[in-house]
Amino acid sequence: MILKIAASDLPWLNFEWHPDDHRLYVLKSPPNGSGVAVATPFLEDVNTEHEAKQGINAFIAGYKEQASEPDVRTGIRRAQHHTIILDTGILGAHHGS
Amino acid sequence: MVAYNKFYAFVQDIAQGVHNLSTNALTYALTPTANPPVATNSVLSNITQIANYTNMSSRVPTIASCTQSLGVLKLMINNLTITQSTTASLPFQFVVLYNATPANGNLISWWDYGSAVTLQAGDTFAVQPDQTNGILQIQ
Repeated sequence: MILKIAASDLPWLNFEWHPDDHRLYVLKSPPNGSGVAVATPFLEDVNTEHEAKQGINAFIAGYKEQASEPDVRTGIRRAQHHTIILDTGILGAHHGS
Repeated sequence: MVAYNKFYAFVQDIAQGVHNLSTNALTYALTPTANPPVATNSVLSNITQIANYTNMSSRVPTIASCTQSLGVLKLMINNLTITQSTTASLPFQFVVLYNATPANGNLISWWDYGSAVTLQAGDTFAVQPDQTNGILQIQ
């Protein structure tokens, strides 16, 4: 069974571990939330769910570190994409059924 | 996910017909770290917004729906990505939802991003309400 894991503070990234081919995939959606997610394998020989989660954590750490650095070829600062995910406000109480 | 904070006056404004949450121009205001909103604020002039929104895209999200089912009203607002162009924004930390249709700009709620953010040209700030439970429910 494919294991799907979301990156809570990077909502445009999702991850899948495919036990059948032992690969971890990153699924990247456009930052505006529309369009098709692109799946790219980034780690092979992943044999357990624990290894998958370790791989995902390492990927996210590297992703965040790279995102704040200038482009390696041009030296130009990369655009930053911030996201605030709003919790729902519940007003009033529910009475009756 | 960032906690919802209610302005006290919102429930009175609902009761007294200030808001039409289906059709009014609900808008996000941004306030700096030094000027957090407080629950007793009621209209836009009570909060201190950043001094200007120069070169920032629209802060008006699209209302997807405002419907009642089994006695629970759910207000659904689409995700909005604010894009900064040409020059940097002023730093902000708090996102305030208010109603720009009534002249006073009556306040609804706010959320704390957790730290100050300054958008450089090309940066984006995505405001994403819960797309299942809505931005708010009235029960």
